[in-house]
Amino acid sequence: MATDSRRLAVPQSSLDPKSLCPAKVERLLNDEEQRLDGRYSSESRGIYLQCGTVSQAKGSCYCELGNTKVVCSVYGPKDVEHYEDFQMEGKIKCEFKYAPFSCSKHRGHIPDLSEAEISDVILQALTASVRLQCYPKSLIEVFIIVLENDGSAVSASITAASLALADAGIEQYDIVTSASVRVYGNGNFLEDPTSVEEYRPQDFDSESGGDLNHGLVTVALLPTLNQVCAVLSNGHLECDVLVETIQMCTSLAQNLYTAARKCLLSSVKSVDQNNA
Amino acid sequence: MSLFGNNLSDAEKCFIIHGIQDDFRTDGRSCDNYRTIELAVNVLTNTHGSSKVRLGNTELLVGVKVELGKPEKATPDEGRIEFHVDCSPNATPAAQRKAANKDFVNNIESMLVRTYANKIAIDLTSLCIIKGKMCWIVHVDVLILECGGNILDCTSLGVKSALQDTGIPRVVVKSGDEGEEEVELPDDPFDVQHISVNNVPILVTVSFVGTRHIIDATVEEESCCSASVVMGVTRRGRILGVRKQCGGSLNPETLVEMLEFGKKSGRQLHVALDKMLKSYEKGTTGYL
Amino acid sequence: MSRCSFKAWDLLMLLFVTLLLFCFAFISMEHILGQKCIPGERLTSVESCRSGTGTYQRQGYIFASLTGVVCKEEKETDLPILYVASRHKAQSVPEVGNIVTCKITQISSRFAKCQITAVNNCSLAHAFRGMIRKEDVRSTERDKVEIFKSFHPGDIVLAKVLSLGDAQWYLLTTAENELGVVVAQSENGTPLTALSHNEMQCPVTHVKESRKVARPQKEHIGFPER
Repeated sequence: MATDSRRLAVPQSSLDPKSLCPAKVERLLNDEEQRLDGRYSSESRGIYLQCGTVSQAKGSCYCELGNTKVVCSVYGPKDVEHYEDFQMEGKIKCEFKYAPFSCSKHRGHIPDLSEAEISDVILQALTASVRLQCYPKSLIEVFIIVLENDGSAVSASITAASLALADAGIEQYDIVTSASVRVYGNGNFLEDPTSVEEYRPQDFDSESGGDLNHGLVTVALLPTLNQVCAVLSNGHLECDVLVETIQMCTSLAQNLYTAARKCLLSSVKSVDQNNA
Repeated sequence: MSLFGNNLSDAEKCFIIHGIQDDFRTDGRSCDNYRTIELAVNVLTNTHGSSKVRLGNTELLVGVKVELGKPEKATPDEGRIEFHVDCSPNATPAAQRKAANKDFVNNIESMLVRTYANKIAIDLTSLCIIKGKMCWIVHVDVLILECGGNILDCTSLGVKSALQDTGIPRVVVKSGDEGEEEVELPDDPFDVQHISVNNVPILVTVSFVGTRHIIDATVEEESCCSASVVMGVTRRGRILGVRKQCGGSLNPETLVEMLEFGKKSGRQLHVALDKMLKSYEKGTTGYL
Repeated sequence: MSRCSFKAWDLLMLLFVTLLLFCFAFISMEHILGQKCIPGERLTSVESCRSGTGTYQRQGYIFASLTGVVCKEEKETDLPILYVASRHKAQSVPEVGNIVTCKITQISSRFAKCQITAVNNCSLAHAFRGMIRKEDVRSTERDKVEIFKSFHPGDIVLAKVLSLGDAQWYLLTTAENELGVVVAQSENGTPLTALSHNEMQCPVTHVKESRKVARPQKEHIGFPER
């Protein structure tokens, strides 16, 4: 990880101007069951995927999910670092980063703890799908950068990373698709939440009592094999609500398969046309 | 977590997997048993609260210190809780290599932050002194002395015990000169208030080895597991955070089974821990 | 009599069904050849083909593991091999037995270290590290080899992968006639011309330098016309 361990971050003396105006707690669902951007709770935003966008990388993918924009590049297989031990299986190194201008609050350019955690989660998801035994003593590097974060950045990143690996010609058991669902109160499941809809502890005030369920669940899935390869959740949920949300995320991720397949097949066609 | 090497041969791994299939692990436990937990609170004199936990071969010290500070602009009526985990080279010589150590430690810190970052776990408004100007910042520092597997569960047990033991000085707010508010510390060092730990989560790691799931995996069992799920469970059975670890994939039905198994184990652990902590309420110094 | 005919009818039905299934299997496999596929797609069953590069076997079926076009390679004695042709070259990592092209980076008295730049005539995107030990330079008089008389830093060498070696180096060998130095530069920078299996000469200064030279393959040798 590129974390600079020799330097301590200077305490922030600068303020985000939005923090000076009073916090506005909005209801995420109005009386007609519509969300803030006009969607219904079981409506996902349209997804755009394209492979081969970064010419210098072995494989790459650009993903747009509403306003969320993610770029992923894959380099490798290359030789392992000098200090690594001998391994018959390959190794994947994954780096996830929000661009400093991507979120509503300015982020530092050194990866912080939450970005390191998300890198680890994406690494778990990709390790389950890549056939590492085909690449002994090799390192595959995956770099993901979020250009604009409007919610569901983690699930968009996982899908983009898997398609970038497929575009790079790295052997995989199956591609990985991912989806997120926000649990809002009792019985409300918002599919594909935007950044305003994502879980924040402050949102608690608008609801009465501590008995309601609130949280954000992200699930990554291998669609043809129907295997879950990553789960991430926060907030406070009852066990059966969590189980129901995971099942909902799983079916959403399954639905993404057709879009991902179309993107990969179109990249094959464009290369054939170049060769012909 | 690959900090501790993977020196098991295939035959040993096979032996462990077959044992687990028959509900008989290498140390004689069944799949849903924890190892013996030894706990002591109030073990460090320079802290406001502390605990020492030993779970089998895993041992760690947790120290809690509270400091006065300014609340965040976005939450003027709340205090803060900050976690820091340190793995000493005592635990393993591999901890000297900075990159691997940092990943290992970040893993634990991020899971603690994830499960405590909501309004259920700790009531942060009780840590506020003067709205917008002064609040208590609770620093929870974990020092890993020995790692024998299942470090996340052990850390959360230590954190809950240390927070229960924490005594925050009962400050008095007085209006001083020029209309500004002043804060006065009490003369009596034992005049303290405690943080309510009724809804604090305990992390439960459920590992999937071979064809069965187990809790409280040792280092050897961790190197055989294909996938594991960590979840923060409160005493009531609410789940405050879930994360899957280890690069393997799970059937959705297996995942659901593991979550329910983890919830049940977490609730049982809370009951046992609360009983143990109640017996300490009279106050003990030193450790057993 | 009736029992006999029943048996014959049974046999006939069995034959017909087997033929139908075989045709169906044949047709369904013909259907996927030339089609584009993505990782995870099920191609065919193990009974009709074997799995080649870009595919893997699972539960009696062959699945694709690369993005590309499904192709078949016929074999005379065995089942045909089903593989996926992608736009990337099939070889991305050196395997045991491959002929690799490498550039010598460092020499010592016991070994020569090099950078593997191409495998089986496919150039690699990222170079791997390889090592040629003293005893693997040639097949005769293996202990009397002097590395300085076989390789110099900067030489381009054709070698064969002996094994995966250790964590840092692939183990290579040049102990065959067709393996060894292909391109080398003399001390003043001009390319050397090969004289024999252990000598090269600079065309400008006519100084002879010793190298372990690779024998050119027959198709690359051109004889002057009489």
